[in-house]
Amino acid sequence: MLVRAVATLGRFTFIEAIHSRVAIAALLVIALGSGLGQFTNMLALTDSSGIQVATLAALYRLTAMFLVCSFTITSVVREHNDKGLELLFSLPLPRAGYLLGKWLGCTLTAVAMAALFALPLGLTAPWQAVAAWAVSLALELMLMASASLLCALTFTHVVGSLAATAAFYALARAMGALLAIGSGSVAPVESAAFQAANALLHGIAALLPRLDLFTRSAWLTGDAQPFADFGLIALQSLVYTALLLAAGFIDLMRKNV
Amino acid sequence: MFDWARHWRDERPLARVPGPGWVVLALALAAQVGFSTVTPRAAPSAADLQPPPSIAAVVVASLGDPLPAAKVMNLLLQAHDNQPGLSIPFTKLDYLTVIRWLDRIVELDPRGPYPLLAASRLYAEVPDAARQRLMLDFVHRQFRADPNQRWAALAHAAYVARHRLKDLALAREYAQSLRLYATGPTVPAWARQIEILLLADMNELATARVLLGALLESGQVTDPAEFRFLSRRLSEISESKP
Repeated sequence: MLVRAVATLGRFTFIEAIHSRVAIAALLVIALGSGLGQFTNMLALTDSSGIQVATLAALYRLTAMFLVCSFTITSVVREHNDKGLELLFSLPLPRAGYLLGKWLGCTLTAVAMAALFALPLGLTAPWQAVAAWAVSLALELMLMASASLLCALTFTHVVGSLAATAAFYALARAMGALLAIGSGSVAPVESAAFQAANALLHGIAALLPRLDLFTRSAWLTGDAQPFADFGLIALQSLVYTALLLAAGFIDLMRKNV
Repeated sequence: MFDWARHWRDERPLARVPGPGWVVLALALAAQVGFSTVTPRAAPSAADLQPPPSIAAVVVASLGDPLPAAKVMNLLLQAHDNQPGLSIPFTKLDYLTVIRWLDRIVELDPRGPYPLLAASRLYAEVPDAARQRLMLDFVHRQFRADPNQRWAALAHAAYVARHRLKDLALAREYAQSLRLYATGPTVPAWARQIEILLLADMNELATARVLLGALLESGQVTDPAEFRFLSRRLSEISESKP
């Protein structure tokens, strides 16, 4: 019963994603990206394919992230505002079923997005590297869709949820650089304020996902082994998605709907 | 603005959340902390230092406002091969790449004092004469581009040349540059007379005390972090050469 409900909700969420023209936006970016790639290819004196594939991979990753997160947030907030959530909860559907159904639909959208954006990269990079990039992007998008789901359920506002999700993503991606900057010997390590700030930074880093491991352009350019960290990436996705879904479940159970 | 008070007031009590929800949350949280602990982020090593990005790349990446990017580049460069606890940092760094980074930062932020300060007081302090000379040459070259802004770095370069490299000719060359080119009203008179100090038979500690003490007392150092850094340097020299 629960599995069927989750599957149905997941299917309808995925259909909603198709109707929301997410795929059309993705195709437009792919078309624009192809033009940009050709342009950089013409300008480069050497390493033209490396420049082209790295530029496009970064553009496609950010676009996919924006599309999946914005779709997830707008879908949940719209249901909340249209009282669709109240209608759903009046049915014999557990709240966990709603959460898992939405998550399943958003994850399907994430997988479709990753596949869509990986296809054009296959023209300029080895297929093994593109496959690793696509799987990693799908996992990263799934994780961020879960984060968006939690933010949308908590804030029930589009702007607030998008801002929180964007801040979470930027912080998780930049945390390595922030920790490195704070570890220099010229830092005032004897200062209590610095020690407190550094401890706080390390605490936040421990709670954030290691997104720096995910979807690296270096795999596509041959500068890093594509499958070297795949076990870690899969484990991090599993652990953090469970954490976000548990937090989302608690928030949903507390909603007075 | 999000009304947190109302949000919490309208929520159902925490007791309504089923126990397994809390268990999964606690387990996932513990697993995440464990994952972060067993997969530490690698500190940037000397070998990680790649050539700096081009100016165009920095301008594009910073969406047309490269100054903040230049400021952050200072901190990123400084993080390489600079682990706390190591008594001799920077010895594995490729100094030619470091100079390219410093040049790029100066190009992006010509008024910023950071690259010259780092070059003269961090990278020129390694016990390696070839590296020291490279860094002093960078400081001298950049001084010539804007003597009245960058005189303090060259004054320290003259001190390093005299007492660390024991190269009096190089120290005098820098001191002469200071006398000839740092002629603006903001440059203190003692900076132009540094040649006399170098020629006098003073030991390293005495010279450092005079130079750093004069710099700190001149009121030219207005940034509290820089003041602290220079004061710490002075006490380190005092401790190492009693």
